[in-house]
Amino acid sequence: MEIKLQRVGGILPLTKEAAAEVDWTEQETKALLDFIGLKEKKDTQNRDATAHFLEVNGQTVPVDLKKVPPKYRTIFEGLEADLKFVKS
Amino acid sequence: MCRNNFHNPIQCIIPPYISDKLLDAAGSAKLLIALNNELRSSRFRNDRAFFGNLTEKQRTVLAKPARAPKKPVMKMQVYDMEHDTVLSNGKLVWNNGKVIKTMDTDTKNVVAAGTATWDLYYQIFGRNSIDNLGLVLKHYIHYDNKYDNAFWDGRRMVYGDGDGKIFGSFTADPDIIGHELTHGVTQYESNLTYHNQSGALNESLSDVFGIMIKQRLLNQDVKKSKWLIGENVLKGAKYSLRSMKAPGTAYVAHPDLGTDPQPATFDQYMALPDTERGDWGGVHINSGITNFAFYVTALKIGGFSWEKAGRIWYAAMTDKEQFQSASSFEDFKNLTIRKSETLYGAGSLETKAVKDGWAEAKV
Repeated sequence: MEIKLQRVGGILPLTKEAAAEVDWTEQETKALLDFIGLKEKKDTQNRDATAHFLEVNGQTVPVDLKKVPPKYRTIFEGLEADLKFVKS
Repeated sequence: MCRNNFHNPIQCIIPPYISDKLLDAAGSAKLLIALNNELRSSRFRNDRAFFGNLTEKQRTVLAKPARAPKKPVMKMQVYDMEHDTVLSNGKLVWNNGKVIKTMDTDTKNVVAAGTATWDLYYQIFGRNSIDNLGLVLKHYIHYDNKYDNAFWDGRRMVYGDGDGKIFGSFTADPDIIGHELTHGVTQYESNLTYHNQSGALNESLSDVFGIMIKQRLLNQDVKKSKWLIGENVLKGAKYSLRSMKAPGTAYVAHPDLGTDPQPATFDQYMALPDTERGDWGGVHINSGITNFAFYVTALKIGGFSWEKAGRIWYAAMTDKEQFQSASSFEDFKNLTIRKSETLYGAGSLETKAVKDGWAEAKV
């Protein structure tokens, strides 16, 4: 299946995206999302900050890339390196 | 009270009725405590009577000379993240003028622009740092790998190096550094919520003060300035992050980014979702409208933007009574007009310029 990493926000609020094919089972996908998933924070004092979202199985979840387990690090590092701007 | 020339403190300063009471209590364990309490009260009464009878001249002689208030001094530190993303891992490379590690271009940039920011706030508006209480300005440079952004995290400024292709270092423009610092000022003042119109005002104030910091650093008046935010950060001679003079034209048909979506007027306000992916209701998009109002105001007043237009905006942004976290464009418009009337008069050229600015932005 295809997963898509998105980076949004920033002082210039543009979206960057990168996609990859993975063969994760439904169970491990759920476990991974439970582990790296974040609740969207509405009121922090962060200004111009960026955030990452993972699109998988038609679901888009805010994620913390610092929490990616070693097993998945290579795929996420590859996605991060491939992020391209989506034109506005 | 002291009936004779006695030197026994009890007989000398304590009134007779108390002395009698104390004698009654002489056998009790509370005598010492009672004596101490009465001694203190008595001294206080005597002091009050003594100082109350002094003439003005006598008071002046006795009064300590007032100390001259200490002039605030900028406190600033620069940390090198060395491409890490955990801010507590940053290494201190510059500390209040002391060079700890040889200054690279980014260190020089944040020191120069950070100083210019502190100077503008203090020398023009009388503000002592971000919180007006002398907060240390902390810059974190070289954040992450090729990170194409700068942000304020609620306590400090963080800058990426850019990817080197589309974006250069985010320390390359003093207006960006001033922009991030001003987010701190807003946080300590109205704390405008980061959603929809109040969020766009938050962004706009950062651009407004960011551009003033750059203009003052470069000694540019309103006509000489290009009114561009991030003209060095976004690579390419015809590109910048935002244009305050002509919102929507900072980058047009950019091969990677497309076209600047900022509106200049309120009739073009973009209603975006109030989510992280929707830029919290377009806070960086709709800020073009209030940026444009400031540009027109400053241009119509003429001279240096910080001298009059900046003073009006600063007076409005720091009025905690009338400018609150949920303020709208309309609220801020009305407040800047009132501030201009107070500072320069209702029928003044300045007040007319403020009204014209908002009218041209269609707010």
